[in-house]
Amino acid sequence: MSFKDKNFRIVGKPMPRHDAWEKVLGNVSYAGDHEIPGMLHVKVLRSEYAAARLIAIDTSAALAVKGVETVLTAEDVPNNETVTKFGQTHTVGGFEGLYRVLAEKKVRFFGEAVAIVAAKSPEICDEALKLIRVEYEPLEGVFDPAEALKPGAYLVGEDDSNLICQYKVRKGDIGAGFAKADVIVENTYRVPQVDHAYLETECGSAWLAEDGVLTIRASTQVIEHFRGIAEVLGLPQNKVRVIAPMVGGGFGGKEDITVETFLALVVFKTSKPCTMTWTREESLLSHGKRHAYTMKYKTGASSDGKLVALEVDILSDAGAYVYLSPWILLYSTVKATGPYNIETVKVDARTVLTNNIFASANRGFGGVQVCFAYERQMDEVAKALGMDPLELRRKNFLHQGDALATGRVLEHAVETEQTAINVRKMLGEKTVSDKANILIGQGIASSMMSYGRMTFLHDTSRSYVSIELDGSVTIRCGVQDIGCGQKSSLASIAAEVLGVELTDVTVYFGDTALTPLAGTTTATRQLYMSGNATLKAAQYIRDNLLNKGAEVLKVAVEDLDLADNKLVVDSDPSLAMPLAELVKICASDGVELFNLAQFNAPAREFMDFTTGQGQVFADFTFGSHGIEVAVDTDTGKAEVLKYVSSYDVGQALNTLSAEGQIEGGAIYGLGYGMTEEILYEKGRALNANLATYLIPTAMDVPDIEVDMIESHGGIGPFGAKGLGEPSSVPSAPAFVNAVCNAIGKSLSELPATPERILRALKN
Amino acid sequence: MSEVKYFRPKSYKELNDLLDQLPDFFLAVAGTTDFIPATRNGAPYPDAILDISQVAEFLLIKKDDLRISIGAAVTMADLFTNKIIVENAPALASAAKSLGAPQTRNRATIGGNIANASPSADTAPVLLTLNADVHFLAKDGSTRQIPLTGFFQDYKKTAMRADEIITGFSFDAPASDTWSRFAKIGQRNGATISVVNMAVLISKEGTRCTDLKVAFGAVGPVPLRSPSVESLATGKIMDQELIGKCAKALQLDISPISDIRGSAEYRRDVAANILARALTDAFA
Ligand SMILES: Cc1cc2nc3c(=O)[nH]c(=O)nc-3n(C[C@H](O)[C@H](O)[C@H](O)COP(=O)(O)OP(=O)(O)OC[C@H]3O[C@@H](n4cnc5c(N)ncnc54)[C@H](O)[C@@H]3O)c2cc1C
Repeated sequence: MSFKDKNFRIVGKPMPRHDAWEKVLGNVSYAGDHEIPGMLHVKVLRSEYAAARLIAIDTSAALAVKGVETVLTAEDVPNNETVTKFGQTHTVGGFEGLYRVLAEKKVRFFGEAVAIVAAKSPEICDEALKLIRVEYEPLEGVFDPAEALKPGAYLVGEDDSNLICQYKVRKGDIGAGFAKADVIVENTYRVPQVDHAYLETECGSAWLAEDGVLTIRASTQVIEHFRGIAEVLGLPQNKVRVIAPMVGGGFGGKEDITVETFLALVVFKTSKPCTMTWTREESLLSHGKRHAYTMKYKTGASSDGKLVALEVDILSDAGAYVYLSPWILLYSTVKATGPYNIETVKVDARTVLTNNIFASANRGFGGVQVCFAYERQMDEVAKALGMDPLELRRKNFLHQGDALATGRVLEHAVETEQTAINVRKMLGEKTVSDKANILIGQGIASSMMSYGRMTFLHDTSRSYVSIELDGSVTIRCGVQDIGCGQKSSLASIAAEVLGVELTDVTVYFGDTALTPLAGTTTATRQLYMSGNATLKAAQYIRDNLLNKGAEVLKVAVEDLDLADNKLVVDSDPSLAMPLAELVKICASDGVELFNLAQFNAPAREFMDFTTGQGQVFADFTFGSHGIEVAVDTDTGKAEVLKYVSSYDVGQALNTLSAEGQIEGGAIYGLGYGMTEEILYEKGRALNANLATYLIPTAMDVPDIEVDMIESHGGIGPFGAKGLGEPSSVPSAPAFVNAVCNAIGKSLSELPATPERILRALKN
Repeated sequence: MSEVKYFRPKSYKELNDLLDQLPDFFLAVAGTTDFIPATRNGAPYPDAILDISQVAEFLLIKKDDLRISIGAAVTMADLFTNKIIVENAPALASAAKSLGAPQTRNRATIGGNIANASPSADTAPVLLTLNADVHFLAKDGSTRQIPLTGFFQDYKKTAMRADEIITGFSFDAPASDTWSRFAKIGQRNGATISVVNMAVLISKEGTRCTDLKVAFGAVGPVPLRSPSVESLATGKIMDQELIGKCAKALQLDISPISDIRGSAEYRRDVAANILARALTDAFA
């Protein structure tokens, strides 16, 4: 068993995460656990209007409070407005997102940061916040994207239109497609804004290091915001350092800057250390949400179940600022067809500013909304044709070698059909209800979700691996570990390649000063990107070790292997040498025992915007969910009786972790299906706390049965595919399909609450 | 920031001895599961907090002859595991078990649940059907008791005076063959506030309903009994027609509002459905 014969010792085994115990024991120091003597506490004054002109801010009374160190407004920020170019290392043209540290000119959403206070205690901050006088001129605002598009609509920003951008995809002659159809099914699907609801709200601390480097230790998915922070402060990029300790959940909500610039500003102004933790209410009110969409789907099918035409119109509510909305919309546009091969396709998509909380990244990044629409629509088409929903899907699934509507050919493994067959089998026969008021239903949903960033972003990651003189292994890689085992995965890759145990590997991560930059922990890209970089670096060291070993033992390199902390000679086990011994020989002979490797994702040109043709994603993860529900016709309550999930994971790095991702994804998505929704009244969120914004509890989730196919057909290390986002995508449609199957009615809106289900039953 | 006095007597005697030290604006608290969220949302702090959660006498559940008494500081976790309650008032046990999450139930008290007077308080409908009395102790040392039906006056307004605290509740143990149910409709299964809740207590002879007590929560400003349903059904043979009439009659007594947990229409529909279901099951 070794890396060499692909009969892995560590990869693909059920391993407890190598950092699990420290978390369970409470020894891990999260961003909010950091104490610095004399640190100031920082709090934010947030807008009480969704749309208003900022006339004046008077901070004098707040400044006069004993213990207040500073009160800052937009005027105090060296560069309060910065324009974020999307992309990590390459600047891609097209879209620019305005980022404001503190509100200026117009307040755009309820909860927007207007001023910050730094004081000796959180209580003094609260007192000072109350004394800041802000003069607003309330404006009418606009809260519905369709309204926001109308001529003469209230303008959210300073531009002359609320439209941020639009995309289209055209494949074939849609008119001819519909002309061929025997049935045409048309529906409008609506999904609300939802939150990430991570356990750890946004938090961090910051200080000025002895070397004059402004250092921020924060809960973030993107340490590379150090560049943006430097820009805000007008500092050179190498004078700002960001450290991300273990993060208590991200799901995309910590992809944008949260506390970092506030902390940095206070250090910049006062030279004193400081800390900040958002309350749950603040977190809900002021970080980016998953976009609310209205999606019109019109599908044409022939009587034998072949999809001949699909016309889609997507309207996305971007909320108050641009942030990542254009990219999220592009994801939706490309994925609007789902994992299906449809003869003719026409997709139009728009994203629009409103005075709602801004929307940005959230697990699934635009792939989730459209999955609800295309998978509900598949069940509706099946119903119209009188066909079994699985049968209809099987007639239309894309397979390896087929092209998406964008012309992009799927070069890698596509096991969607198998996952759908598997979940149907795992669901088994429908449970028989023994009560008059209980209806049972089953539903499945399949999905296609990319992993890795869009190919025109020219994504890269770096990882440094070294082997110490005693044979232990060190990795330095700037990943952010947001709880999915990013760090652990890298350890298992290096351990496998270098023939050591998982416990022999130490991983330093998430520090822009000390760990090579590995890009964002977003887009389900870290295992793929940093995993490949780590594999490359470890492979380099392995080659050096084996070459030296061949020379010392006078055997052919092909005869050598590394396993169980030894240099192994396959043809003669008695020649085995302890790894530490080989390392010492290498060291004294000047053989390099370290490597900094960069992995470059396959890059492509930007897609053609006039036709929507081109490559946007390098590869996809395919999977299916199956759900059985019991609906109570008295109350509309839908109880999940069974939950099954099947994915082609390519290669599981750690089967326990992979299962954990799939289970977590199911629950995360189930909340979207059942209960989650930010409720608004003219831009003011009505349920900005976890007593009223409802995520699933342990009582709402049944055991989740997981099935993993290992096609080895991914482009991650060892043929792995990404799981973080894909595992969550089809939950909501699977749930709603099951409910619709139970009640014999159609639901087209999320969440499918008991009230909505009862209303459907009544009609 | 002003100072708040804090008292935590361990016995009824200690409590009585400190009564005259209490300022005019004091509040009794127990589990603080309502108190802390309320103050975080801006409710004013009193000048003194009287923490009654440790008063030994307030932690007791007793049955003397047919009278059951429950101390104000009895927690939900204690209620639903207590033998007297499980055997004599199973609906109260299930209400207690449905409240919040395990952490909440370990702290939340029955006194707090009633004093807080939320329309959705889960123990309220059950105590209403049990014809429970509320017992008070005033700052001057005097005591009194009133029927719970007269306690809830309007949204979050009760018959408790500012100088009083609740010491406990008492009610006659229902006959052993009474049929009872507590039903809670929430938006999810765990840690959920009732969109509608209901308690039913039925005595019957065959298919004849000899006595019916039914109470609802979250369908009006206060938890309430439904006199229309009770008078319609009492003494009658319970059949599907009567059940339908009861579900209709209920609508006269309730006045639900639409809020972020549900619409008035949903509350009306669900209240009717769960009442009909209970009556159907009771006489099945
Ligand atoms: C997460 C969570 C979930 C919840 N879920 C539910 C639920 O499902 N159903 C439900 O009904 N409630 C629920 N609640 C509300 C709360 O837990 C209950 O109302 C609980 O019974 C209150 O009891 P307590 O001892 O914590 O009251 P406290 O918070 O201590 O007091 C509540 C109020 O009553 C007053 N008070 C308390 N004791 C006395 C007394 N002896 N005499 C006079 N006044 C008194 C206090 O001054 C205060 O105004 C929930 C709360 C939380 C935090």
